Amino acid sequence: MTVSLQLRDLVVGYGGEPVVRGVSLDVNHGDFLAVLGASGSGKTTLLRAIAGYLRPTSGSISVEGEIVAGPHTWIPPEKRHIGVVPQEGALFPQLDVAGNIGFGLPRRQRRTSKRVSELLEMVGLAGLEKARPDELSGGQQQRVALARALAPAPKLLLLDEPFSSLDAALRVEVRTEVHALLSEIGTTTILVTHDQEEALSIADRVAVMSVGQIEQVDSPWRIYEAPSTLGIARFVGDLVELPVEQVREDCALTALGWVPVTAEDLRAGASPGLIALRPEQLALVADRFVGAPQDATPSAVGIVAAIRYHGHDSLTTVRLDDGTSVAVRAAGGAGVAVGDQVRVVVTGTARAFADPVV
Amino acid sequence: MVAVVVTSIPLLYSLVRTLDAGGESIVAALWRERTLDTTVTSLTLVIGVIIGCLVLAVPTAWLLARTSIPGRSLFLVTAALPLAVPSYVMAYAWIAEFPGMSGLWAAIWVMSLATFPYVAIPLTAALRNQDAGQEEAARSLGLGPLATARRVTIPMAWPAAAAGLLLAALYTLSEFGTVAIFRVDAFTRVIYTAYRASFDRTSAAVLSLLLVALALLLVILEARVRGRSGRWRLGSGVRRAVPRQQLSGRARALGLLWLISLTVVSLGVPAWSLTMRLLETRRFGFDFTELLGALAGSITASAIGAAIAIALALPIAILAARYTSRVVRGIEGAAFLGHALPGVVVGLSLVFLTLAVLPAAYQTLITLAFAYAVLFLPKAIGASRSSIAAVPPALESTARSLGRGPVRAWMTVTGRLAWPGIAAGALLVLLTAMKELPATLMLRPTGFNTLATELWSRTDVEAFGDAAPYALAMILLASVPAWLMGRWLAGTPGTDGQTGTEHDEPVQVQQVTYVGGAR
Repeated sequence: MTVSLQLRDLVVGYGGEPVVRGVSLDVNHGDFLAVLGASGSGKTTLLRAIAGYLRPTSGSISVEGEIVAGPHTWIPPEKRHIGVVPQEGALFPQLDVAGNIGFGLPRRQRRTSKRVSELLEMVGLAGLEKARPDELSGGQQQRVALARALAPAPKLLLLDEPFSSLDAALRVEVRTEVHALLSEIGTTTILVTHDQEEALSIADRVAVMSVGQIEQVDSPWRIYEAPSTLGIARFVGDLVELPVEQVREDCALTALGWVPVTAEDLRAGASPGLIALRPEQLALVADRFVGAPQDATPSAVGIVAAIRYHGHDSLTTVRLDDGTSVAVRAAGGAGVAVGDQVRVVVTGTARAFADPVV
Repeated sequence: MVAVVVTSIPLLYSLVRTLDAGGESIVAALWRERTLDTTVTSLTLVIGVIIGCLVLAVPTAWLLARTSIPGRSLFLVTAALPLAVPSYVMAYAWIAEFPGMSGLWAAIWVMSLATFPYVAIPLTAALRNQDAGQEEAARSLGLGPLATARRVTIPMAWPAAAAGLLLAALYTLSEFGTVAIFRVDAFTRVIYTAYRASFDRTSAAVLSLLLVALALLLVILEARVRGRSGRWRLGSGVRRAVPRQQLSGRARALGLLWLISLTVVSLGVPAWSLTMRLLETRRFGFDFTELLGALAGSITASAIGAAIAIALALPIAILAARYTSRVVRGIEGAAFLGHALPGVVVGLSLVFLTLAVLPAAYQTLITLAFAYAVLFLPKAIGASRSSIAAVPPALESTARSLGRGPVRAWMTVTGRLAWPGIAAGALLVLLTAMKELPATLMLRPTGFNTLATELWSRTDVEAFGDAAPYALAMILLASVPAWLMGRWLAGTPGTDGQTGTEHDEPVQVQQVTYVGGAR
């Protein structure tokens, strides 16, 4: 596999404190990478530096082996062959849809070639050549912006939170289509987003960014199941955090009993301060089994304190007898009511982290 | 409705009168060589001013909106300030300093200096408020900086500039004082001369109608261009300002040289010239009672005019702000066309009208005030309309539900909240009317003087020194709205490259319109 984009010790800022503080990253050809970070993490700044809108303070950027920004090199954005789909689409309001899509094509191709209508068909907007941008819905504008970026066949495509301005239902629909389209074409793509669900569902690999640095680059399931820091673990999904009282072999004693912990976590660090479980790693057992714990399965008894029902699943908060609250996710309804006595059972392996407070 | 009828009376009357004169004499008047000459002169003047405005405004707007040139907020104010100098005062200042100036070139030069802010200010706002997104997208699609400017930045900023250009053209077309001072035979001067010669009133009326037709064309074009600029922004998210270009040392020096030279010719020369004349005046002694008399005359006539204008404007403004029926839009549109009425035309038609219908009203204060009201009605409507529209209708209906009658509810809620805007509209009419020259010359009672007429009579006999105190007084009065507008602009976030707020822009553009058309 060839490397399409390579970042080395990249530092980018706006004059004051750097916003991107030493990022190194390789993106393989044909990869779909999501850069996930909270607002202010520097992810958009990173994208703007790759696009060539911002000049890095130090470090280098190479695209397909060619250095486009480095200590002695600076290639302006128009010579980089990098397509960008900006946040709001940023269509040219004075041009119609065909004019927008053909914008980056050589003059003779703009009106005559079939490329524009092919692209329109590809993004599912066939026949809308003559529409004005202000006549399009938000989702349509984003698709036109995508077609416009793809028209000159860029080496690399950058998506800057392109779905965040769409409403929830449309967002899922458009991003699923975009994903299908891009994996079909095989364009190397970098998506910047603050939406963990979006990053996990659409990307081949996810780079989690925080305070100007990349903390972990991994497959979506590794990011979710094996986050390298507690911060990432908290950021990418709901978390049940339990203080550790004692460690024995690869188990940790917590309010839920002896919970199995990923072996490498215990080997790597000193004594862990807490373990973290996803709510779906816990299960509820109704009260007729209470008092009859099965063999060694870690569990604890508590009272249902609250239920958040979402239809496809539900999140039940249980107050354990020792006062700790845990969240349990179940597919569909949990079959319990507030005030019921239940037993919480651990069904998986926990991650262990050093307690941030200690 | 009544308001519209009242304002259109003068125009309708001169139309009727023209037709009365009989087809043959109209055709004769139209086809005279002088008519053609006048049209060519006026159009040359207008086109010259359009080019002049572009040359002066485009580099200025770019420097102020897109570069890191030092002193931006100061230069933004100095770029707006020429609006505070009535153009014939500027013409007077130049001719007093360079007595040889005259003719078309002189008029183009002075009118360009006087009107370029109409282009520079909205263009600066448009360039500053553009989203960086489109330009960045163009760069990522393979366009260099120049191609990006040509294919993206200019097309997007064009409506703002075009609206300003049309405003400048309209202003130039109806300007009387400057063309008269430089002895350019444009419509306004020819009409005025024909009227003074008094045996040739059909010709004056025909030329008036021709002038109004041209002005109408400009007003309609302006409204269409402005309407189109409304759709320029798509989406609803946060806008990111275009980063300012860092200038190299040499570029910065050149940019500063440009801005300083522009300030010198548009403000420095008039200021210097007036100051020198003022010093001369002090040497020869000056009659202050005359100045105070003229000031009192200006204020009296303008205040009555402003009162009539607001009384006529309020019903239209209330209707236009709250209802959008076809009839209401028609009335508002008709009132808007009032922008196209040059002072010389309104003056002339009121002269005809009073002489024919009500000779007792000829050259009375009330006729003069009425002329002001007709001329500046659109300004009064604009100001009161936007402030009324800003009051949420829910407030008024809540007052109704709490047991207030419709009139009381309006007075205590909407009227109460909107009155600063309405008062500002009245003040604007008052200050603009004080600068009005041609209609005042035609309609004022014998022996009644205003600042504008005193200034005029002194430049007419080339008593330049004596005119200076009047010119200064007019500038001081006229600078009030310009100062307000400058403050408005300077207080806009985004002056230093931060993201501007969206709702500021319509206010600025509207403000330019209010000040615009000041004759």
